Amino acid sequence: MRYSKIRKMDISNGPGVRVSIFMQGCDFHCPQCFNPETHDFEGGEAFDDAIIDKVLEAAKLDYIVGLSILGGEPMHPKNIDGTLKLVKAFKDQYPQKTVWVWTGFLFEQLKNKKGIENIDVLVDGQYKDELHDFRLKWKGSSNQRVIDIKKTLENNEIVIFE
Amino acid sequence: MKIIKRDGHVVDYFPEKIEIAIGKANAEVREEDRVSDAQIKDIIKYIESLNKNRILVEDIQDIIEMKLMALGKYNLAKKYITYRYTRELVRKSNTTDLAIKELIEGESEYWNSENSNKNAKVVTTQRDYLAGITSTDITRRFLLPEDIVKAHDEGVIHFHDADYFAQNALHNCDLINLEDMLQNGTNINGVMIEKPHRFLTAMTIATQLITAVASSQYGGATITMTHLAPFVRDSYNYYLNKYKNRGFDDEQSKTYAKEDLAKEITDGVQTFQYQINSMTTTNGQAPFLSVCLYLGETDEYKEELAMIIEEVLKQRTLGMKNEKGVYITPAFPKLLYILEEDNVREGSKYWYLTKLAAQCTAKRMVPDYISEKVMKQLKVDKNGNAAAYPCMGCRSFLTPYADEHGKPKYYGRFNQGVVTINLVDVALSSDKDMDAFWYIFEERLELCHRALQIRHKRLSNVTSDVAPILWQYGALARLPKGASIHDLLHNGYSTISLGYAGLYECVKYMTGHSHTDNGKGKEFGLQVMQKLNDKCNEWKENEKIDYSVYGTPIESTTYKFAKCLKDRFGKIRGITDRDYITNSYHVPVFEEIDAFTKLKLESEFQKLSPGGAVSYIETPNLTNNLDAVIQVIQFIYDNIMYAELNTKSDYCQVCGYDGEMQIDDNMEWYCPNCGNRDHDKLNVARRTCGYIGSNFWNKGRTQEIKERVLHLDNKDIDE
Repeated sequence: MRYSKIRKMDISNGPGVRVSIFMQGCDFHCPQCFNPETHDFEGGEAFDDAIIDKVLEAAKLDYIVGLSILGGEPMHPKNIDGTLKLVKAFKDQYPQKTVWVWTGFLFEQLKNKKGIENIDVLVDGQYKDELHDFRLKWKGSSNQRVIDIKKTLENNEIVIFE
Repeated sequence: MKIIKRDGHVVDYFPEKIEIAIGKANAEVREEDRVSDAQIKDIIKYIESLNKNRILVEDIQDIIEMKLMALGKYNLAKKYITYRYTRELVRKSNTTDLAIKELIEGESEYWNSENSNKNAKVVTTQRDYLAGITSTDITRRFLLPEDIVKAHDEGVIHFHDADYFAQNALHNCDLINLEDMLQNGTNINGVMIEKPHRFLTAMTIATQLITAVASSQYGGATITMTHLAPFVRDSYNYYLNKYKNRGFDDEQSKTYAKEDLAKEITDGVQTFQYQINSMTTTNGQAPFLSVCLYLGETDEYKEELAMIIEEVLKQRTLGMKNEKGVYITPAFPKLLYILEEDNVREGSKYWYLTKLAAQCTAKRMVPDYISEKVMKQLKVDKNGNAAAYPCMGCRSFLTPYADEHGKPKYYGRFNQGVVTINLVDVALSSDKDMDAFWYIFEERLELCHRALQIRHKRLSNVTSDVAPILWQYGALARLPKGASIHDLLHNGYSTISLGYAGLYECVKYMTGHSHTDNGKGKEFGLQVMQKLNDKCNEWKENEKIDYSVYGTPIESTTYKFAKCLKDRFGKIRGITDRDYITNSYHVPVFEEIDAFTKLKLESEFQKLSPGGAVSYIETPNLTNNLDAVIQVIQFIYDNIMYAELNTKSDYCQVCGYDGEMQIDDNMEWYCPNCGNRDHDKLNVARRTCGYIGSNFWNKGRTQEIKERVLHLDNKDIDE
């Protein structure tokens, strides 16, 4: 598994000031993807425990309110285990900070995966350029959903964040 | 070599002029008292051997006098001095022609960007500038001693607002006592203004009072909405009685009265906003006004005040329409939002107002934020009362003060004026020698001190008659006609500011470090700041005048200082190679640092700048991440007394693009979407001096804006 880059400060993906990591490799190839250089599974750098530590270290500052995981496709079969391991490690260390994940899959396809419950918010669905609207918050096209995972699992139905 | 003339203009050096001058004196003395041509040439050679880039004409004359005396030619020297004196009288007769010509021909960069809130093409501004040129001329020739004028010309110090100094006599900035004026009535131009009976009238009258007050001073003024809140209740009672008298029951009457009141608050706030931005003071500009939004100022009218604050923030977020009918960011008034326990945390009673404030800041750059918590730690009066209060205008803060009954008093007080020390020049003059540094520092501070005393003295000769609205009708005092304002200048009622600029470059040159290094750079920076305070305290003790250390905005002065430094010391990498120097204690705009670290670090320096200073962070468009704005606001509350966020909201009239306008390598603004470069068709709003400027800036300030790094942004880990 590989990743593209880590941001020590991210203000564009999720609420507040966050740390973000962009995973490497994606099969969806949505037209007008905002991050095409992350599609190649061979690109970027190797993702391992040292990288998890690096993310945790960057997130220790008080003003970092959470972690955002984007891509690439963090939930691709090649990436999902590493992604969820990072999520688990993050929540263990920073239970007060939130984890947001962006994926092209639908929540329904992922909900039985162990560890998914550690995610706070999942923005799901492929990007559809014809449904793009720059006024949308936290997502690129109107088909995508910003899902509150905790509430969704409690209620057993999709609950949209806020 | 260039010559700096007495009026500050720079001209080419011609040795022939020295020959002629000495020649004329020569011709008037006896043969044995004359100098030879060879001796004249030697004098010229000596002057040239000094290898100066620039030299003051007075310095050349001093050298000639000394050389003539050294040659034993006393009679000749005497003639030369007489000749010089006569010439000086001729010269003294007029130094304004060139400045006036440049102004009215409209070609000069200086006048077009002297003040980014003033448009030099407009006749009302031109009238103000014409008066300013005359005032500056009088100030230079009659009111200031030569050494201060010289130090000002060389950029060693800056004697601010010389263009308003000749008049008899203007003060700098203040907190207007609207409460006194509205509750007790006042007087504008001989017309009695009685206490208003409802909110809308009170708001209208307030704008007229503000304009009248702002015309009698040259700096910024601040009012508080708290003083308007009682009139909201008056309006409500008026509506309530109206409906009761028409026979509606209590509940119905209350419902209808609330509806009418909401409409009146909307109208009142709108009237205020439009009046303030559309009225022109005698200074040829909209009043430089700040409006304080501080719930903690009243218990009795807190609910009414909250209603006003809500409406002010909503209307400001919307913006104001420009000539094309597009909503843009207005420059005035500046809004000061005070953070306190009941509005700063989620779940607190007035949290909804802070959320509105965050949204407004993201869109319109205001409000700025004052932390009641931090301020109360710093501002404690002699009776132990801690206070929070707004700055006067953009950043000038009063000293803590209690009146003769021991009651804390802030509204109605003012600042006498500013003189600024150029810290970079002190450092460069010392040649990195610490002992020399402190010696020169002391010397320069005494120069500032004398200049401030002249300011003070000029005001202390004044009677209340020069500005009745200020001194007789409540804005600042209720003195009788003809009374001296002397008492208001002493014992802490008003302040006078020792400004400083360029702490960063000063520290960098002396220590090789930035003052952000958490090491010897920071230590030295704090030491310099402490010394400034020690000096002010010493003067205050001796003279009973509240001298206070002030982080001067130096809006266009930054360019002047940078030019002077280059002339005096040449281009020194990282110190004088820019067209600006860094304001006050600020971390330099080009240094990579995150918002939180910056605010935390600067809070240590802000403490040592009690006469005023504002910290800021630079951000991209944050309208889609208000949580981040709120995070910064909450951080301010816990860490720093006074700070602001520089967000972006521009507009191109050609293509309608409303993203961030860019600056090219030639320091020209353009629209990145359509390439439009016409200043008349670009609306660019940037905060440059604590106020939002929108008339573009001089070259030095534009370069500074271009080099600003974002303190809140997407940043990769290995950057």
